[in-house]
Amino acid sequence: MDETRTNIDLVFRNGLKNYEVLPPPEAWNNIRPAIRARQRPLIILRAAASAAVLLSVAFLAYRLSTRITMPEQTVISGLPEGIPPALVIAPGEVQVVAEKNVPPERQIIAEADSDVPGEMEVIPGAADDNLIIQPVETSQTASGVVFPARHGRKDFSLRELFRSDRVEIAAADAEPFYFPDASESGKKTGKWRISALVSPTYYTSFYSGNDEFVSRLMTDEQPGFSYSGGLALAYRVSKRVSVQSGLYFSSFGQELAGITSFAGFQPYDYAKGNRNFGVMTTRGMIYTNNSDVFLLDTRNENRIVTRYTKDYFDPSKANLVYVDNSLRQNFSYLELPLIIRYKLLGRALDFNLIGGLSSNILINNSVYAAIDGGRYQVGRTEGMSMLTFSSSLGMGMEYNFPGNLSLNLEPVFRYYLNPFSQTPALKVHPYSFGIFSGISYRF
Amino acid sequence: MPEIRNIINGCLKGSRRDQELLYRRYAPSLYAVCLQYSDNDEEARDILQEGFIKIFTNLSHFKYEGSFEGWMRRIIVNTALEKYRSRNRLYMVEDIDMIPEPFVDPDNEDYSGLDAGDLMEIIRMLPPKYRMVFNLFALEGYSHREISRMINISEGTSKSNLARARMILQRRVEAYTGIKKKVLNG
Repeated sequence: MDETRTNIDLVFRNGLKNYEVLPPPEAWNNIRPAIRARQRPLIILRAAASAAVLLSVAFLAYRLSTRITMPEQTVISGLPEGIPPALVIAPGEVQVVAEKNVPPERQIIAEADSDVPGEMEVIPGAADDNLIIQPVETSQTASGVVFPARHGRKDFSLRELFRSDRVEIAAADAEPFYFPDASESGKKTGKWRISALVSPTYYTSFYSGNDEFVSRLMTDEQPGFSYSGGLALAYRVSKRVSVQSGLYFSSFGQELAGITSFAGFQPYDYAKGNRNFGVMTTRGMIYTNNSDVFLLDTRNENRIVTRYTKDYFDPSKANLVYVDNSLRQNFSYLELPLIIRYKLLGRALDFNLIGGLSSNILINNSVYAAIDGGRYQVGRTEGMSMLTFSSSLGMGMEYNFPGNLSLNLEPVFRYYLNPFSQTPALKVHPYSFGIFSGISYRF
Repeated sequence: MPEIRNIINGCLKGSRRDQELLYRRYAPSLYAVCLQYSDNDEEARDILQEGFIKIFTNLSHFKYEGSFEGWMRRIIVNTALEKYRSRNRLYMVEDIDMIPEPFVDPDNEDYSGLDAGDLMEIIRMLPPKYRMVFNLFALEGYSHREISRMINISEGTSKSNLARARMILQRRVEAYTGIKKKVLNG
């Protein structure tokens, strides 16, 4: 084979080595939603994993809190040698355990003490030699806790038991037999509570109509970074119920994909008006108030309303500067909530069910494009409702530190009762999910 | 210009900005590959779209052990192959092992007048079965054994398809060069 000859393969290999062709613009528009759709299950999995971790932590904290609440086991001493302890009183579950081979006369026998309430159910174990006593309700009296029982001899008194010559309980007479509720110690400080809470928030919405254009608008709108936070004041109405109000600030936004913005349009703005462009969104109509901005819908979805259509103005022939390929709508609200908190569990870690309504007042509304980490002001969204109402439902976890402070963690789902837009056709209902965290002070 | 590693990390975190940056940076060269493997622009666009979706969803599998562009190119080529196989346009061609390879004499032939666009146009005129083998063998560097597995043909068929592809390409290159010379010289 003659090496001086060039293989036809090389002609093509070298000729096409650095060849580049710009793909059609719609290619990226088709790729982007597909990536989003594929990433969604990952987001759901992450959310599920986070929820599982949260629940596990809450459960562990709850378990820990119950142990912290009643940590000591009453130790019975003074038993004759060779006989292991027969009475073990554990938190929440009082057990009288008779060791195997203990003769019946050495097992716990008590007399009824009729003037003291409280019951203890005595359940024989699988074998007669095991005896378990489960408290139904306990109460403190001057002489101790009395558990009328329903086994063997009808009732008995622990006080009598303690005084029996068979067992001794250290300081049983001196100190009442009492299981303190550690969680109560912190809660008797006052009925008021002030909290500072903050949460990253995920906003999204669903559309209840069947207009194809609105559905398309929604697919082009992606939630942006959102957060909420503020001060809450709660009043404890009863042992379990609290009423809470306060003042929150929340900010949320969304990104409009495919609306490309350019700067430097002012020299071509023959109308010398500010509202050169209108962009249809599910939140309302964006109107530009910056005469230097030129907007182009690169997805060809007719979202832009303008006098500068392709027939009148060709942006490719103008000296415009590319800014960003999407617009960002940002809204800020002041929230005035009215929340009811119902305590499900009261330990060192409290669990509360939270539900209520909030009125939200629109205080800021802006539309911008991102450029080099900064904002290029474009305009504002019009047709927004100034006042919206939302309902919320959540689960509050509160860890009580010694003293008056507590740590809060509150996953809250919020549904907006009226749409953000005043346009009746835009039946887009926003909802959000946030995990509020913060500290509370009781007084 | 952001580092490709930063862009990849951003994509892995779901950053739309980085996804678009990655697309804008590599789409032109990969679209050229798509054109090389497709019958028409629409098919090339489909390959690009499907290929990029695979790239984004499998980005976590890229371990920086080789060229990132090469890794993406392989995905695009595989996507083109899947499309080709799904169309089931293959039919058996007799094995011709002894067809001589066409050679171009650089002393007598001047191909400097042909640009990449011309070459692409020529390559796309090939029948799909020849084009596929030529692309995989001559441009991607696969062996006939590998090609036979990739597109489910025998090694002999791969060789014969390559030989025919080369023959057609040589004629067309010559024809294009002649036409261009005529046009340029008046």
